[in-house]
Amino acid sequence: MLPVLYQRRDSASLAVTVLVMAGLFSMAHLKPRVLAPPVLEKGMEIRMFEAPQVEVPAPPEAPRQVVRPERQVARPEQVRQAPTTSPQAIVATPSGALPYQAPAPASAPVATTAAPAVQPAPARPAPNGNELYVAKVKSYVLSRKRYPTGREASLVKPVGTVRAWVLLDRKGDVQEVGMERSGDSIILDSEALRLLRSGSYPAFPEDAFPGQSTHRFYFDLEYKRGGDS
Amino acid sequence: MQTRKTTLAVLIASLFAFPVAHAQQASEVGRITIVGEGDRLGNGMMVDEDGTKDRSVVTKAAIEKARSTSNPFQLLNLQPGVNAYSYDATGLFGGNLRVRGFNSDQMGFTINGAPVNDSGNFAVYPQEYSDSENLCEIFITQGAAETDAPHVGASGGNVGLVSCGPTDERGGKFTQTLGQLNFFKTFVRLDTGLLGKDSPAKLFLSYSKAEVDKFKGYGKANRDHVDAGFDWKIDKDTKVTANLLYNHAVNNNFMTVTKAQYAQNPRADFTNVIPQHLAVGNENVAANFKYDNTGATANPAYYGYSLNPFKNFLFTSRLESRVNEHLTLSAEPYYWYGYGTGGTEQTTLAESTSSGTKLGFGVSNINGNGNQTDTVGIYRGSVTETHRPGITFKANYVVDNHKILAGYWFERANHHQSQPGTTVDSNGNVADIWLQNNLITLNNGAIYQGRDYQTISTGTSAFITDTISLQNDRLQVVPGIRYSAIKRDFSNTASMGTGLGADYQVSRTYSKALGSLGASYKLSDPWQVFGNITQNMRAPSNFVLAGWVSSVTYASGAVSAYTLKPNDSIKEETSTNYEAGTRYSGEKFNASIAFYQVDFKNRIAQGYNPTSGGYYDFNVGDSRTRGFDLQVGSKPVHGWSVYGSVTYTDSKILSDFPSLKGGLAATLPTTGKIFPDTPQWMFGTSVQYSTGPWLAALSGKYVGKRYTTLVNDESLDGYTTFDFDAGYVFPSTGFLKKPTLRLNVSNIFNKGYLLANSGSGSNITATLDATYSGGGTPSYYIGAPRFTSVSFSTGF
Repeated sequence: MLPVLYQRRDSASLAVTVLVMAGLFSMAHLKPRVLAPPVLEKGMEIRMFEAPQVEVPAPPEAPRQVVRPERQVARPEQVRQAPTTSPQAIVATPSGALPYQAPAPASAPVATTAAPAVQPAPARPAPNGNELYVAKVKSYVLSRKRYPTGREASLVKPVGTVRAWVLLDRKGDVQEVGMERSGDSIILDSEALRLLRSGSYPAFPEDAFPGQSTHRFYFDLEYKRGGDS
Repeated sequence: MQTRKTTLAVLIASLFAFPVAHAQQASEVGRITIVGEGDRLGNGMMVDEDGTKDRSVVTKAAIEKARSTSNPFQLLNLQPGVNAYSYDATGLFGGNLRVRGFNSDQMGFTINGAPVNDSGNFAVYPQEYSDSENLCEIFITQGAAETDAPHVGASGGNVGLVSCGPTDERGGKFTQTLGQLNFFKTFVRLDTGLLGKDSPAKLFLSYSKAEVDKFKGYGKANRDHVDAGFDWKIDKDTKVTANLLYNHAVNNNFMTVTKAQYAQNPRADFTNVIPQHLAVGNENVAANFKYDNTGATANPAYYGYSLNPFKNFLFTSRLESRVNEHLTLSAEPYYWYGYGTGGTEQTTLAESTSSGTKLGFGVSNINGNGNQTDTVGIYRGSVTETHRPGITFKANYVVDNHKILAGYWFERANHHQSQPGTTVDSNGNVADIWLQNNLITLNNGAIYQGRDYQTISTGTSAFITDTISLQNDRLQVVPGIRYSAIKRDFSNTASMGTGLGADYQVSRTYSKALGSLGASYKLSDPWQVFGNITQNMRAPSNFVLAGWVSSVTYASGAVSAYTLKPNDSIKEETSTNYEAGTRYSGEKFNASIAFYQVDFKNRIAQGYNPTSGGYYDFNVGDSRTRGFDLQVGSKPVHGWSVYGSVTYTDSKILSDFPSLKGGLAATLPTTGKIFPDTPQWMFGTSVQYSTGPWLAALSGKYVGKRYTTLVNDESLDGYTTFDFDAGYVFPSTGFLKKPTLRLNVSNIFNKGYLLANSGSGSNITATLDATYSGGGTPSYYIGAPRFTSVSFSTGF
């Protein structure tokens, strides 16, 4: 054993040297291009709510029962941008649920930041349009999640949590994806971004994020190995 | 185009709208956990693949259900494309594997990324590898060699074994397996758990001991195995992992039999009659040491002199450093050591009186009886000792929509092949089964060798692949190229072997630039199409450089004259693999199908001539294989889940095979013939039911008719075998975690069948017509009969 390890000393020391040199070189020459998360501006808020644990989103009637007089769309253009029955969305919705029906005609233009002004009854809060859409996005991503495959992933077996976001427009089209916190692994980071970027998300219903032409969704994508037990 | 317009419009609109539209908002979707492997798909025999190559994975969930001694070939058996068998049910004796007509020695095998094919002839010995308790995953690419894998001997696909690292929790595992044929395996593993906080390290160490008797004849397998693993997270960007395996095995061989022998006695094997020495005279007669394993009048060798003692260790390591979010560098050094012998060691050797016209003045007095005119029964084996250090450097670089993997692999394998002999007594004792001590000498005191050569094989490969993501990551295009080379510095030391009587050195380099291009496209969420074109290369084995000496004469015990006849006719074999397929990844099940074609150039086939006992490499010309692989795996529904695979292979040799008939040039009509041991159809299936603590799985495999000669004048019938695995998990009590009882029954219907004798270093008979070179009657392994074992395992 020992002589063998001793014979290995050349390759081992070479390995370490090359690594360190390459590392130093890279740090000096490669500017990290951090996929910057959006800067939170004043007046902008991240609403934290746990998406309801529903595999199938609630039936379309539910949101309509919530009386929300001020639920309005800010700009007429955005009404056009929010098709009521996008065929793409129908195909892509894993549960097979249809997108929400168009709500009552929009009229008054304001009321953007105060979207969820009316809080449902605290005892049994009925999910509002935003929550329902977030739940839908979550169950959609859940249905597509996969651990990275390929030789490199098999050998490295990376574990970690990637905090990443996807920016969707009202049609559910992906505008941008980004990473807020790396999973400390290039394999996981690319896989997470790929998962979010390649999705076919449902269009926003009228009552989801009214007044917003786009909306950003944050995920904590936790990659684990089941094997090390 | 339409999408781009829309995207552009939205972007412009949002730019103008920004001051009016107020701030954008964001929502928290929450945590989504993605677990790498498990029983959720196809009973653990499938994962949700999405690459550009046909690829399959056996997960830990499936490995855990199998018998604890199972070797990787057995574990891969149900996968599409795979034709695997094992010499016995436990897997301790080894076996063979073929995929798409490629033999295991034409495929590239790695353990934790380090190559484990023999550095000389690319042979693979699956029984030497990791304990299955410590294996996390086995992956296989059926046809396409991986561009970044360290292979120069893989014209076919790749197989990779991946060890489980140490666990975060302190504890361990214990497994005791018992079964028929005095089978037992005891396995103990200890884990330190995480040590330290800022830069935590963890370590595991396991030891196992296993034994089983042969199911026919006499003798057994005896294996000691150690695995160790080390993980050290120096900081969040720098990690070190290391694994060590040590294997020590002494196995008796199974005797292969001809069809005629099998018909006469399906359990024919080596004898337990110990060959007896004579006081004086010739022992190379049937009454003493001369044997004939396959002849009509069976007079097989003594089982104690047909041994496979082998010890090996493999150290693998990976030092990974993430420089920034775009670049990760890694170095993966490894060291393989192997020593052992094999085959039937029983033979005879003629002593000679001291004569200057013989190498080393001839063989000395072996039996010490005072004269030097005897022919004495001895134990002589082909010994191989390999020291094989190597390292792979890799850089993973991500920029925009490019994911670039570039690297360099280097190894220097020092491979010493010898054939010394030692004495045996009349009670069946061998002076040293490892052939290290008490060796027979020549009259000048030098060690007698039937062969004695060293090959330094320097393998290198420089590679780069770029995974380009397009159309919102729906389309991936992966061009790649590698330049692989192997330089063989062969150095022969004069020995008694044929063609080996004088010292000589030769050096040959085989190299090739090999391209690959793959693409995958996501049609919709569940549907994906993929395809690739991959070039593969396999260098000739080192032994094509052996045996070049002729007309050698000796004076004063040393070489005085000889002729060197180079044998440069063997070229590297190249193949081009075309694949196209589709994958479905649904809510209830996953499925994939891949159609492929492999075009071979200068395909190398080994021929075995039973008359001379020699192995020969041939370039059998061009050939092509077409077919498809299909696999389907369901997710559990009410506890039930299924896995199935279908393999269709249409292989054709495209040229005749130049041969010798009675010493004169002749042609073997191989055009249009099917590859040996390559069935047209194979089906694999596994049905599992799991409820609460119970689990039961029934699996079956059909292997179609296989030809066993190059001219297809002998074949083996198809066969179907069924295995049953069941388990019960007890509630954890005290310090016992998940105590589990398992039952494994192999070949439950006790089907009798024959297996082509084409182990690593495939020895394919050319034709039944023994007047041709490489012709003769093929002999076969016998399929293992029903075998039952139970095991109790628990964590602690």
